[in-house]
Amino acid sequence: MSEPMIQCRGVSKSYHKGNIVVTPLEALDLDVAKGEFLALMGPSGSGKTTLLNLLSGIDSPTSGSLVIAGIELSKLSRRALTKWRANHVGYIFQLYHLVPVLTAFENVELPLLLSPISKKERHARVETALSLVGLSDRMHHTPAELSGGQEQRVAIARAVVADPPLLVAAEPTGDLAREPAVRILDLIRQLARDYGKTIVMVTHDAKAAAAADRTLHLEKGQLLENP
Amino acid sequence: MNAAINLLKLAWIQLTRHRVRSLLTIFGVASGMFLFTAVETLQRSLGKATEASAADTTLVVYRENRFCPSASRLPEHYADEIRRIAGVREVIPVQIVVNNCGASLDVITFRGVPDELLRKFAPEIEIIEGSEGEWKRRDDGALLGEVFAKRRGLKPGDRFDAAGVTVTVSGILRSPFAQDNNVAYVKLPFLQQASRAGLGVVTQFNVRVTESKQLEPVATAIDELFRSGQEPTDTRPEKAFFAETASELVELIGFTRWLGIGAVIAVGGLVANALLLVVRGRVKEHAVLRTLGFPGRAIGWLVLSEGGMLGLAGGVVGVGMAAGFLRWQNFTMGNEGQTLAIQPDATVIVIGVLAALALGIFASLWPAYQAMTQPIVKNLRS
Amino acid sequence: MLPLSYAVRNLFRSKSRLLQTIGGSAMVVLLVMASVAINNGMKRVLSASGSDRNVILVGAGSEESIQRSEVPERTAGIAEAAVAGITENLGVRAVSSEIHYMNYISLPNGNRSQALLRGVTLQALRVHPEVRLTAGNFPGAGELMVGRLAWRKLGLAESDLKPGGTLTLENQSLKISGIFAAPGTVLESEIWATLGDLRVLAKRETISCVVLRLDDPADFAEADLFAKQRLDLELTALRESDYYSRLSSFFKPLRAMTWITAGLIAAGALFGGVNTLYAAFASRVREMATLQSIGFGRGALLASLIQESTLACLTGALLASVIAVAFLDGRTVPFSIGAFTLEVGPGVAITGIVTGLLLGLLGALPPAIRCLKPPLPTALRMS
Repeated sequence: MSEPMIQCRGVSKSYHKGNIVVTPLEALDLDVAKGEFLALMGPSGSGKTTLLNLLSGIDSPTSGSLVIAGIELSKLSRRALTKWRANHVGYIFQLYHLVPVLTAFENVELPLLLSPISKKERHARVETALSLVGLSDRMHHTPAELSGGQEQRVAIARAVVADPPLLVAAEPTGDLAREPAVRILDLIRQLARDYGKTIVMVTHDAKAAAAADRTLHLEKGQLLENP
Repeated sequence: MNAAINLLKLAWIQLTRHRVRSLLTIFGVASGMFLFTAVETLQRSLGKATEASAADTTLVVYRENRFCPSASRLPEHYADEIRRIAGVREVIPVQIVVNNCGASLDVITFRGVPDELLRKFAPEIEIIEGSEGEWKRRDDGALLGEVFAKRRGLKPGDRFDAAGVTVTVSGILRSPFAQDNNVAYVKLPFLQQASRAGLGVVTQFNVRVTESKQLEPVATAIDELFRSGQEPTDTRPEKAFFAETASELVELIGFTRWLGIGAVIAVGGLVANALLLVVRGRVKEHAVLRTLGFPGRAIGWLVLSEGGMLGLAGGVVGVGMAAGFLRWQNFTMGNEGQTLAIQPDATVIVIGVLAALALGIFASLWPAYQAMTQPIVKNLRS
Repeated sequence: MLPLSYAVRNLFRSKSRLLQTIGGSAMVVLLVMASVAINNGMKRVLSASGSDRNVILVGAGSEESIQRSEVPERTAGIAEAAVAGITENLGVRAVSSEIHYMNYISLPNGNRSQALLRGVTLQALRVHPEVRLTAGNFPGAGELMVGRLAWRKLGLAESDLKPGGTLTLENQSLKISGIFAAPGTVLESEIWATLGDLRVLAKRETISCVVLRLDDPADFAEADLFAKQRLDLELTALRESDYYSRLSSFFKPLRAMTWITAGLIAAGALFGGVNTLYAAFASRVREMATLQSIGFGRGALLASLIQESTLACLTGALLASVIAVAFLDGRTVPFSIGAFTLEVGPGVAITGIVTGLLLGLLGALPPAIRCLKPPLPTALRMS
């Protein structure tokens, strides 16, 4: 059995909110296999987003061990973590978070601006990512000129353009109507199945969770296989 | 390096696609830099006129304790005695008549020189209209500086009067010394009579010495010679003479230094304000960039680049407009018979633009720091 | 209409932005008030300095600067006899021969300073009735009478120039015999000596001018005719008020500099302010849309936004007024031929208030319009 992509052992996260100490995650253990599409569900405040933030390297656990693709994240310096983020994870947000004044092409190009590759190579990768999500004909449109579903597809293209092994998605269909939501889920599933991406998705929608290989429930910082 | 340039391009895109906000800041910076350039030009023009350089070889012999040209009266025969002093190469008696002694912008200066000595007094002038011959032929002929002629709309053949002197325009001249383009050269005897100083009396002597080392010894010798005479003299190098005589002008221009400082502060404040607004408005955007793997310093570089570009753009507009305006208007300030041409040169323009760029970057330091240290998680949630 | 309290409370939403707006508008209003005060002060002192009942006979060609003028000594006597309409008191006609002279004077503290000297006889008091002795006596030979503001022009402290003190001119020590006042005129910055003394010290054979006082300003024509007829004297007749208003226009470029500076800084501040408001209002699009859907019209909302901005700018104007009254009012500003006092009067105050209002209005209008422009459905969805 190959090493899991994600290995959490005793991961806890707490922070201060005024005088109160909040602990959204408590001694969490989790394994996610390579190429697996995992859905995380749970009520508000259950710690789903916190776990996502830990997995994507934008936050660090208070205690415990978090190993992704063989790298112990908690041991990385801030600088190293930033670099790790650029190459190892793609984040898909509920509200897409595209830069409003940049075109679809320029938005997707953003993660590559810091890498040493040539302009030609960069453009080739962006075009590939956009054709993957089916938006080659909308490359030069700004977010204002795109529908919600199209915006999310651009966001997905941006998340995969640097070819990261891990994708995290926070309510990717939360702001979409039924039809575009279905298309997005199909796309995400395709990324796992055909491109071997490991995907962790947080969702409120049971129908969205049904698209995943496995669903876990988070309740009060604890994982439950079956609620 | 690649990354830095890519980020510069991204900053440029942000600027150009937020047109209104960028233009507002650029015009604000331009206003401040316009003022700064005007002040710098004044300071530099004054500096050039008053700071001694190694090439200076001219002394001005003036009546002691007199400041307005109408009050300085020296006997013309002093010239012969001055010529006999060792180290003196040339002595030219000059009569000056101005229409107003106080510091002002609308000054008319007549310089009366012996006609055979005009070329020795001002060898650099070039007659661009009319002729010197015509001037020599007429008693009341005048050679007008280009700027003066343009301001009054005069051409060869016209008659005009100012400061009580009526002349006929014989020619228009151009001089590489900006302030000399605002004077009128007339014949010495004519001016002596017209200004009622009388023949045999002049305002000053311009003395050329053999080398700049001789300036001080010759000046001392001249003053010593006439100390106990009826008209004691005060001899100083030309630039020092300007500085002491046009003291009101010097004071006025000195005061404008404060305006220049004010302009710099205003520009800095404007850019800092604009960028703080940008940083506050892009909190989420920056958080997203951080999740994409942009390190904090990349975000900081983006902010600094925007600030620098705003400063540079505003600087180019403001400095350009100020320099163009000053060049076109050809301002000349006068005080106690001295004229100062306010002309911007390449140095002023370069200093202005670089200052604007530096200001833009400096003013962005705090906003950049703010942007770099914004917490990612909290801002994604906001 | 939205209540005013809504606008007030919104102002306090961002204290730093409020302080920025107040500070910026205070600076601009203060600059404008200072420019107006300087402008008015200069104009006022120059217009008060010249009476339209006085005629100055100057040398032809020296109308722009009496200091350069040369008039034969005998002119006073001839004019007194020939010109009709001169004020007469107890058989003495108001005709004053004067020498106007600018030169360096040595001060008690060892420094030198440029001073305006006027060589006069007692006749000067008949021709310049605004001059009043406030201490000491009219000067005799070897003596000087200093104007109440002469200390300002010389760069001394007011206490340095008192009757009994000395000043040195052309290596001659002259005793200060008295102090005179001539409120609101440039004469107050002058130093008066006897005509005889100044004639010697300035080495002149001629005088600068003859000043005649007329009963009726319309009689100026008589003096003018006299000057034109007596070609041998080479005179020009000028109304004293005209002479000083001409001087006033000489200073126009310098006054223009003050205005241009104020204008440039105001423009810069305005650009910054509009920028700030664009950003501030941009985040309130949804709020405005919500209020519209409740039933408030766009006009009412626009008025409220402008109220906010105007309130902040007027507060800045108030601050500027306080600073102006505290630091500018009563300050004397020297210029080449005298000094004037800054007065923060109703005119200046009104200009300040109007400036504040305009800043508030102009600064808020474009951003407010942009904020209210989007159609409701779009606006309600904006973040």
